[in-house]
Amino acid sequence: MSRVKDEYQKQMAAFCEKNNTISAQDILSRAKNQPPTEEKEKVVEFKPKKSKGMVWKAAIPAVLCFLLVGTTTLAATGKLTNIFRSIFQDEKTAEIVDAGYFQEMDLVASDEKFEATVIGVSGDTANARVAIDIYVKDEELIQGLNKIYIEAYCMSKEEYEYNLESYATWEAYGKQDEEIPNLYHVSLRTGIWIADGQEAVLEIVKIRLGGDGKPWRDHDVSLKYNIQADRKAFYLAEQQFIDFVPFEYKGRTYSLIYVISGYYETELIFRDLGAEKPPQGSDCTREEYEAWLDFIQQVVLVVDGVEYKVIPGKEHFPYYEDNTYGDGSYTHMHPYFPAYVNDDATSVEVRCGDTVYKVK
Amino acid sequence: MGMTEELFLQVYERYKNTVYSVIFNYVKNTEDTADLMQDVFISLLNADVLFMSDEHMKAWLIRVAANKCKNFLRGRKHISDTPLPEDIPYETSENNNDLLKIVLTLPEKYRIPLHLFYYEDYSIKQISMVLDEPESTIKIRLKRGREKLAKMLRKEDWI
Repeated sequence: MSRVKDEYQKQMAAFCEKNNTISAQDILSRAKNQPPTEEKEKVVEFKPKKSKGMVWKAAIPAVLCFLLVGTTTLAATGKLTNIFRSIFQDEKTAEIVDAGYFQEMDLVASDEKFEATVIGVSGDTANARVAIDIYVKDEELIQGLNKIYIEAYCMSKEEYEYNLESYATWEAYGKQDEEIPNLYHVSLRTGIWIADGQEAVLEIVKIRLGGDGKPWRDHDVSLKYNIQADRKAFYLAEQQFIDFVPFEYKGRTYSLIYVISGYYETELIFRDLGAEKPPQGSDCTREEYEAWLDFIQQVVLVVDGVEYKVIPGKEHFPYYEDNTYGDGSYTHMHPYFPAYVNDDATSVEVRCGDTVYKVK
Repeated sequence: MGMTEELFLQVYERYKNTVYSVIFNYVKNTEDTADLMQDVFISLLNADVLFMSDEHMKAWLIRVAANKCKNFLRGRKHISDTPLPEDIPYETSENNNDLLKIVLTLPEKYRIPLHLFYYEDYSIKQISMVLDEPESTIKIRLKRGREKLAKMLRKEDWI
């Protein structure tokens, strides 16, 4: 198309020369005669991007606290802000991007039917968010369909190569682009691997397309990316190891081993060392699962005297670990509680019945 | 004013076609283009922006022009009871700008990225920055815009 380009440039330049009758002097005169306007120029401040599309802020807690009060005067820090805030209505991630924690990417994987582009990453170090655009190449596939759902693996390269079968997929629904019907936007939560700064593999393995009142259609795919993000592109979730503090409840012992204070939520990790070997293909027996759910409802996170219960409606699953590292079989549970700003909190406790553990 | 007259004259000479062509691509008539053109350069005179380079200034001008056009078209849609016609007549009598006419019949979402790609030699990244759209969106618009253009050019025996 270089002939088209050359000819277009020639024709457009000739057209401008012929039709633009305004001189610079006209504009200067108008500017001088124009009364000062009340309306301030609202458009744009264009700044060249930094080389890797990444912006840092040093004063993290202060910046985030400032953002939390809901200011609307901050300039947008990039396309990712818009993607998370406007398309996904994910205000938390948009705030993290506003504070400078993000990394823009342009990683493309495609097959005959789909082209999927990783636009960028953000989130906190406990939960990376990956923004992905999925373009359906074959328009026949989306006749009357406007919904998308994807499943993807995400883990370290080593785990991907040797231990893939131990992992479940991450799943997310996406949004259809307002202007381009065969373009979909997806925000995928992917846990710790990408945020850890190590070489990670993200593989989209299933794309489902659906529509109102229409059955979903599954497409098995293998759209794979090697991603090595910079850790500084993620808000630091404070992770505190707790030395197996036991909480006794209804004859079982649940040991607290981690408190992770992230931007999205607070994650407590408990371990049940007395777990039975679960039935094949599951992580615990039904009885144990119900015991876990009962237990986490009793746990209270207390921050500066304010009590928080486990976030309702959030999916909480136990995970079984076999005798891999010599410390016996056990199950984990990761109940989620509301987030707090660790630097601002003066007192943090975990309580269950009469047992109180002072985290801070 | 934030810029000397002498510097403004140089800047205007250098970027007048860039700004004019972007605005015309949006509004497709010379009268409104002239008004918006003046608005953009008056904004430049009043702007309190430290430009890092000529490219930075050029990108700023394109972005201001694009935003002013969008606001203008949005406003016109509000005051009009009928939808805007897809093609507003533009003044030209020559027969040697047939390609221009064909490009101007493309929908705006394809036309503007294509214009920046062809006329300004902008990369996908640069277009994405001045139009404030994700690169993937620009990539797709360019791809589809070029496909549509090629179809039209073939129909007109242009290629």
